[in-house]
Amino acid sequence: MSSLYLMIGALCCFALAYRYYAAFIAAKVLMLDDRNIAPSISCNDGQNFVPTNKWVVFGHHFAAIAGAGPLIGPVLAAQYGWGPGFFWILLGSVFAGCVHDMIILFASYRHQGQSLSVIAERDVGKITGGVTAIVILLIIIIALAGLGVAVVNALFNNPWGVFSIAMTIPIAMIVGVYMFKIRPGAILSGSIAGFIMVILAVLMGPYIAESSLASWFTFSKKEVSVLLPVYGFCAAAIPVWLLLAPRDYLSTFMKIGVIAALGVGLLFVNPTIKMPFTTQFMSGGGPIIPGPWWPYVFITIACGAISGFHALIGSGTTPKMIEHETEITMIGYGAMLTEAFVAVMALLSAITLNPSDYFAINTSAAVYAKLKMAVIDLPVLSQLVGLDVAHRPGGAISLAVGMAHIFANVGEGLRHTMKYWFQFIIMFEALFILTTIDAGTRVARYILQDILGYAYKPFGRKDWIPGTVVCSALVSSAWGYLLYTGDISSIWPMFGVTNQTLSALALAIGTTIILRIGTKKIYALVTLIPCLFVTVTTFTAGIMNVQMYLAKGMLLNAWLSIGVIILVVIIIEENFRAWLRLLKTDKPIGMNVDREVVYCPYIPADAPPDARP
Amino acid sequence: MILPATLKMRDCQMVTISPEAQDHAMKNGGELYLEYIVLQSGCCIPYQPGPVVRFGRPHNPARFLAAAMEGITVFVPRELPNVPLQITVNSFMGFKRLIVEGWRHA
Repeated sequence: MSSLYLMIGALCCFALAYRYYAAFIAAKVLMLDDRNIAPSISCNDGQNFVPTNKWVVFGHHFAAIAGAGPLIGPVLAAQYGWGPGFFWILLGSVFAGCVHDMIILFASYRHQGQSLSVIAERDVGKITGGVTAIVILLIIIIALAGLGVAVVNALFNNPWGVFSIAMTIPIAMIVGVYMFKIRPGAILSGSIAGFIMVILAVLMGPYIAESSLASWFTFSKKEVSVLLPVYGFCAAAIPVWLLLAPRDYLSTFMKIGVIAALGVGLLFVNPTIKMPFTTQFMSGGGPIIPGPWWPYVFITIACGAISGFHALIGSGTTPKMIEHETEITMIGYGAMLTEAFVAVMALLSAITLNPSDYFAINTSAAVYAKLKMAVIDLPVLSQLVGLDVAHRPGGAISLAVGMAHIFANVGEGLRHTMKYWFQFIIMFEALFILTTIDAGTRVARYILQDILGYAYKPFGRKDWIPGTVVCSALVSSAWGYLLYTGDISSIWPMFGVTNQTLSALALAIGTTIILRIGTKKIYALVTLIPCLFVTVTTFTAGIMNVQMYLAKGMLLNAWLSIGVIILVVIIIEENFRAWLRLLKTDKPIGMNVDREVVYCPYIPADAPPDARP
Repeated sequence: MILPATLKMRDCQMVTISPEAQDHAMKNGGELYLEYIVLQSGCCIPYQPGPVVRFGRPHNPARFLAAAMEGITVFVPRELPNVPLQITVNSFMGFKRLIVEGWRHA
């Protein structure tokens, strides 16, 4: 079958979902209304709450939520065949992931850009708020350290990658100063200039790597492990308009541009799908993912369909920059749909490889020998990329080979450029991840400030400089420590399930919010159904993982996983009691947003004009 | 206790231990084990964590090979890929800890 059918089918599905389902949620369920003043306006502090053009916010949000997950997860899930991964990306993103991102972004917007734990504390209860704060801080620190490992592995001894990525920092600052200070609102000219500079940085990379300047951009693993948290600190502490927002925005050009180019490449090359609909590994025993397709295909694809990490961005940086409430549809639902399309393209790049080549890349030599398969195109592919790509598990290499293979086959004359494309895609993966790290560190700072704000109120103010510096230093040191010492290895195995469990938690909170504001109780099914599915799936995976940890004597992971499961049970139980209570009310009681907040007043939609800033 | 399989140093070439790590291990009971797991799901990065070293005896010794090394017993998971690894000492802020070096993260 032609891979074009899947690509076009996915595009049609996403277009329909955005046109009808997202519009239904916006108009009927959430009743988005631009008369609700944005926190970026009512709380504008010029540092964290900054009214920002919707395309820049979209770029930031997409860059922050789209880490390596949509690239790597679908490639690994291709082990089960193309069917399970493809249909989960479609259904999961449309009915779960996009809804999840949209409802949390909406909730945070209405709560003056506060974090998920504050929303939970106000709209569900104090226990849920406190427990959510612990869970999300744990998850985000683990996530940042784990993502850091991937970037370190991609950038050590890689002057091309370091140069190109490092150059995006000064370029972003120039663009930020231009778009926000010199010519506020000049998005088009700033974007064009920034885009050209980023492309130049990428094109110059190979020349820098072969020049005498290469030593300036060549770092060991330890050095990159120190530089990354330092960068994370800067991205978290300095005003959002200066570095984070423009850098993520510019990175999104490259991210979406490469994926769009891959789509065009597919149109030209029209490769056939070589992976079967399902493989013999559906019930477990696979060489890449040992577990059965359910629940592990859902855990593995993660951000390609739904991810709890998105709730942290949606209640972190993004709601503090949106200018109008109706933009939540495009940014919350639309960015996740875009990420799902990235996941579809990553899946296509894997399933158009010969299955024997795919497994040869993604398994060790010993495991591959047991499969009794014979490689087909792998020797030629290795020769074309200038590297023996056999037995390099993890998903990154097979993705790079698959994408480079498509690009290089657009025309006969391009075939010899496959080596260049391969290196470009490896750097592209690092870029994808780094934008998640910088935004994630800033979000972790906000979460920590919210927690410390309970003990000492000024910490709750995001514009309080000592709080900003201390919390930025604490969170970047925490994940930097796990990265530098390698201790992340001890706890990373629990991350996949824990991250998906967070999405169940966020959907439960979303259900409570819809029951509070919805004109019809039945609208709560929009979040309740995906919440139930994700909860059952992640709890099953969690229990299977705990059994495995105990069998292997990995007590730290076992106890941490049990702890997270118990905490989430507590949260869902409190939500469940809130649902029962809310189902008995005749009219919507509204969200609990009229309570005094530390630094900016809530302005209701029907407030007189002179009450607005 | 009867070890499931006791290997001499020469039989377990894939794991070695540095002299500093030996001293540190001796001060902490003389028994070490490596924790290793093949991730059940690939979320969300291309990263298969390497083995982690812990003091003491594993919860389920039958899953391990026990290697006697210079007076230290190191329990190595049977499913650990055959790559050369070294247990060394790492010092961070004055705190000494054992780490495993040589793992190439996937």
